[in-house]
Amino acid sequence: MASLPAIAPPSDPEDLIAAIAARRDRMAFARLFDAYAPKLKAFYRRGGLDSGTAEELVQEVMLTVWQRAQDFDPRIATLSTWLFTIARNRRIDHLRREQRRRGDLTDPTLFGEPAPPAEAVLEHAQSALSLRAAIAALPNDQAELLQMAFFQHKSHSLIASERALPLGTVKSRIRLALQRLRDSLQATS
Amino acid sequence: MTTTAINPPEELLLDYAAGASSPCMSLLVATHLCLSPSGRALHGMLEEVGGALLDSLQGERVERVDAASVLQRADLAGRLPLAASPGRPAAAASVARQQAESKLGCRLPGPLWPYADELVERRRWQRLGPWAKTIRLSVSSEREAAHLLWARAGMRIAEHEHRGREVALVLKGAFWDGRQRVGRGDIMVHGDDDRHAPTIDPAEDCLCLAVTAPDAIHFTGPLGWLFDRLFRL
Repeated sequence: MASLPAIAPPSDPEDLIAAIAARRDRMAFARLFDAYAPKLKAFYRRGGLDSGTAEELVQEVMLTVWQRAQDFDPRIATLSTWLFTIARNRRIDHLRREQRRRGDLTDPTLFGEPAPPAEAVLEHAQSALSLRAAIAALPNDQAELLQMAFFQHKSHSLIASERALPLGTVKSRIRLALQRLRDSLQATS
Repeated sequence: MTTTAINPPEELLLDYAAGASSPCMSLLVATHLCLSPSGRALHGMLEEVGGALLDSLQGERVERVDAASVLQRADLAGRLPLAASPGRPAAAASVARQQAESKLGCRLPGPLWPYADELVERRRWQRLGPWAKTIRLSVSSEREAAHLLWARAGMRIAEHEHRGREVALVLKGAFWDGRQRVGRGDIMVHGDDDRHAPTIDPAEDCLCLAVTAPDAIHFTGPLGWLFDRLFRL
């Protein structure tokens, strides 16, 4: 599970999203769906959701993509990153709904959209590529930690307790991993 | 574990970007991002890591939905009249926000806007002596609590001990913790058995957002028992 294949970001999908934004292109949407819905389903399945729930959330994500295609800004993030943030937020919404069903009704209105727009750190496809290469080159213990966080949505303290690792060890692995990723970006800029 | 100031707090930002933060920590990190350009840069990179990992996944066959079913839902949603917004009119929310901002003497970062109503309710604030007060925000969480803490410029907070994690984000002003100055946008993490008595910077009143495990803080000075009763964090 730990080693990560290096996969180049498909550049074509960004043209598809542009076609959807510009002229509500249904064919482009169908192609985008075929390219990403299976990955999104795999993402939700890795996070422990059953197949039916995963597909419901995939449908919600793709509906958001159709409705908000014009919000996608390639200068701020790559398309897969935009999709990841939508998928992550849908999952958080889903968990909140589940919690409410279990009777937790003191509901805050937390982050609707989580963060203010990130500074355009990754303006160039080149830096997205080097980031991917750097992720693929991470040592297993660091790569595994990122996967547990992003796929299983486990906090660093939960990872530490599940793996019976000292919290300080987990934190230092995270810092080492992020330092390597940052270095890879600085090397390209 | 000793007191540590971390800027930006990488593991907290990783949890947040991955969608693994608790509700209270989400609120704190989202607020931090509003105040910290370096935090935003790191957050942008972490989300890009999420996108790269999504790309690296082997897809799983999707059986019950397809592009046509999504478009059908979109068409249906487009034909329905716009649902009346469940919230209050924007104007009322903005008045509450302005009141809260003038009471606290600083701009409220966006993630705190939903709490503006409670911030202006005087009876929800708890006094901690004449120079400090606190309010618990209505974030639902079993394991943690989020508070705003206000303290007068130049005061010294009674010595207290942390028996669990406390994470504090400075929204206005600054405090000194030992030799470190912790200012607007900075995050301070206190671990177990961590004793300290921070001093508020004399230039300005200080406002912090703090996330604590229940009963994480115990006052240790001569009037500690009294503060403990007043200051149920």
